[in-house]
Amino acid sequence: MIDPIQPFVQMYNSLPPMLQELVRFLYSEPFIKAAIFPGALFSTLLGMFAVWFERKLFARISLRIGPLHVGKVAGILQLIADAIKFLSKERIIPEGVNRPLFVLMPCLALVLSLLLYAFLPFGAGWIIYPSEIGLLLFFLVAALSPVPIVLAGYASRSKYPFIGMSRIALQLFGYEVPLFLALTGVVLSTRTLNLEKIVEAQVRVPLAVAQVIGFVVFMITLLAETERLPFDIPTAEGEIVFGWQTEYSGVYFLMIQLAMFEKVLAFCFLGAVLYLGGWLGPPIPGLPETLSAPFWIILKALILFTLVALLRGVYPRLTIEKVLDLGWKYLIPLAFVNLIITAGTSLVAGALTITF
Amino acid sequence: MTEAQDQERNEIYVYDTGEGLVFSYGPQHPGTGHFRMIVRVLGDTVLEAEPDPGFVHRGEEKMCESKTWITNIPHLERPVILDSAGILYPYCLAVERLMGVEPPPRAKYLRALMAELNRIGSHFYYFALYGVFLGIPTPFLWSFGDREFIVDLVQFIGGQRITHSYFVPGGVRNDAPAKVPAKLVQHFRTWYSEATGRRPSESELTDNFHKYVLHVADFIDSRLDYYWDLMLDNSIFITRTRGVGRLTPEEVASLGAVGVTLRASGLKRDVRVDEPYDAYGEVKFEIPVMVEGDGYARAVIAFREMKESLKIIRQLVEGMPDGPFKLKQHPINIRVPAGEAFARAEAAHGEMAYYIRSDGSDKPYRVRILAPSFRNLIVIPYTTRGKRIADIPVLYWSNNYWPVEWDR
Repeated sequence: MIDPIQPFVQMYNSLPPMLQELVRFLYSEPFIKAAIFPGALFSTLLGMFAVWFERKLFARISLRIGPLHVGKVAGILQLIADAIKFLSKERIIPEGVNRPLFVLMPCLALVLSLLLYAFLPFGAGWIIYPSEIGLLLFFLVAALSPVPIVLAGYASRSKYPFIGMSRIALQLFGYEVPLFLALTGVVLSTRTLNLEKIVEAQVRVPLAVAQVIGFVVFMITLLAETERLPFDIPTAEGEIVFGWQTEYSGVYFLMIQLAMFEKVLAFCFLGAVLYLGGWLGPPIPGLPETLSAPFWIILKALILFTLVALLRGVYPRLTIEKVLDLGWKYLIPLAFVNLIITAGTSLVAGALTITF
Repeated sequence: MTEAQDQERNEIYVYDTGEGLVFSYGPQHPGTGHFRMIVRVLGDTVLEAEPDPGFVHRGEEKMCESKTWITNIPHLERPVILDSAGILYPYCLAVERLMGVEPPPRAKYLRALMAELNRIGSHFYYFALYGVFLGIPTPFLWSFGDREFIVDLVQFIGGQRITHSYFVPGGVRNDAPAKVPAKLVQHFRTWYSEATGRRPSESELTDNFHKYVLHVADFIDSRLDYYWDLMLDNSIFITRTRGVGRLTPEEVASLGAVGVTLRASGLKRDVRVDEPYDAYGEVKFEIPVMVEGDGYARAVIAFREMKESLKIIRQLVEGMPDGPFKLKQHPINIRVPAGEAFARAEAAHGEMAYYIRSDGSDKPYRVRILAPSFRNLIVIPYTTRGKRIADIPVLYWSNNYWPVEWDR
C-alpha cells in the first residue's frame, strides 16, 4: 500500500484499532473498485453523462440545441436537476397493485443493471470480480434482467402494462438465443470465457474484423435487449401509453430509466471488450498504462453508444411481429453462419500451425 | 401480409365470441387527441375498435345562431386552429352567395394564398404526428421548425399566428403589407443556414413581400426532400404503413371519406378543381392521386399536396393583382337577405362544406358544418378489424383527423 502523506499517517496511528481496520478497508483495492471505479460511482456518473450526450446528439439531429442552461457548459448538470425533480415528486402507488412487487422491481432492475459492471474489465487488473467464466456470469445477469421487468408489468395490474409485459417477454426471451450464439463465436475463436483473456487475444486484430457477422448480430440484439429504438416495442408510446412503465412515476421511474441506461452502457462496454479489442490501443504519451487503458475502452464504448443513440433520431419503431421475424428467421441463422465460419477458420489455422 | 394470415385473422373475427381484452385508446393517451377508441383485442389482434368522439364538443353550430354574421368568424375558426382558413372559407363563400356579391380580385388571391399557407402548416403537423405515433420524433421537431416560417408569414399577412380571422364575407380583413420586417428576414436567415447547412446569398433575401414569399416557398420545397428521405423513403416507415388500412375505390366512395383518404384510394376529387372558387380557377396545379389506398399512400398524398400548394403559392404571388381587398368597409355588421346557401371548399383535412339559412336578420337562422374529419371517422371501425395493436396509430392518424373538428 502506498504511504499517505505524513499528517494523515499520524492521524491514522492515533486511531483505535477497529477504526484503523475500517480506514484500511476504505483504502483497499476491492472497496475502491466496487464503489468508485469501475463500480457504483463511475457507472452512475457515466450513465448520467450518457443521457446528457444522447440528448445533445438527438437535439442536433432534430435541429435543436438541447440542454443549455443548467451547469456552466452546455447544460451538463441538466441530468442532476432532472434527478432532483424526480426525487422530490410524490411517490404514487396506484390502488390495486401488488405493492411489494411494484416497489421492489425497479430496485431489482437497477441492481441487476449495475451488477453487470462487476464482470467488465476496464484495463489489465481494472475489474471488480476477475473470473474464469466472466462472460458466462455477465450473460447470466443479463438474462435475469427481464424478470423484474415482467414482474413489474404484472404487479401494475393494469391493461397497458399487461400488453407491454407480454411484448417484452416475447422480445427479450426471443433475442437471448441469437445473443448467446453470437457470444459463442467469440468464445470459440478465443477459447476462453475470461473477459480479460478475450481482450488479450485481440492484440493483433480485433474480433469485429474477424467476425463481422457476429458483430452485426450482437449489435442488433443489443438494441433489442435494451429496448432501444427501433426495438422499443414494450414501451411503445403511440400504442400502449408507456408499456410496462405506465404506472411508474417519480423515484421509481428514475430508477427504471437509470437501470435501462446502465444496461445499454454495460452492453456497449461488452461490445467494446468482445469485438473492438477492449482497452487495447496506442499508448498515449504522458499517460501511464493504468489510465490510458480505461480511456480507450470508454472511448470505444461511447462510439458504440453513439451508433445506438443515432438510430433513435432516424428510425421509427418496428412491430412485435417484425421483431420476432427478424430474431428467429434471420439473426439465429446468421449467428450459426458466423459460428460455422469461425469454427472453419480456427480449424484451418490450427491445421496450419500443426503443419508448419 | 400473406393471404393465409388474412384468412387466419378473418377466422378469429368470425368465431368471435365477445371475449377479449377491452381497453381505451384515449382520451388520456399520448397517441390520440381529444378522442377515444374503445378497442377489444384477442391476443394482438384487434376484434373491434369503436370510435367515441364528443370530448370537445363546443356547440359551434348552435353558437352561430346567437351571434351576428361577423362575430361568428372568430369562434368558427377555433375547431381547426391549424387550418383556420379551411374552416372559414366555405362560410364566407356561402354568405357571399346569399348576399349575391363577389369579392374583388385581389381579395380572391389573398384568400387562396392564406388557404394554401394554412394547408401546408396543417400537413406539416400531419407529418409531425405521424412520426411521433410511429416512434420517430425527428419529423415532429423538424416540421415544427419549418412550419414556424409558414406561421410567421400567416401572422405577417393576417395579423395572428393561427387564429387570424382573416376572411370576411366580401373580401379579407386587411391587405398584405409590402415590406417584410428585417427581424423576420434575419430569423429566417438563421434557420435557413441551420437547416440546410448553407448561407443564403444577400440578393436572395430582401424585405420585398413577393420575393420573401417566393424564397420561403423555395426553402420549404427543398426541405420537403429531407422529409422524403427521413420518413417516406425509410424502410421501417414503409413496412409499418404499407398495406395498413387499405381501402378500395368502391369502399372509399361508399364510406364517403374525403381528403387524403379519398385521393389515396384512386379517386381524383378535389373541390379546388371540381368547383373552382376564388382564384383557384386561374392557377395550374395537379391533384395527386394514388391507387394503393393504405397508410403509406396517404402520407405520400399529403407530401405531394404540399408540393402542389407551394406551386400554387408561387403562381398566386406572381399573378397577384392590385386593387381593393374588400368590397366595402362594414361599420359593425352586415345584413344578409333571407334564403339558403350551400358552399364547399377544400380544407387541409378534406372537403369542408357549410349549409346556411338566413331569415333576413343580422344573425344566421341555422348553420350546418360538414367537417371532413367527421366524414372520415367511419373509416376507423371499418379498417381496424383483424389488424394488430401496433397498427392502430397508423389506422388512426393516416386519415388526417383533427378531433376538435369532428366534435365542432
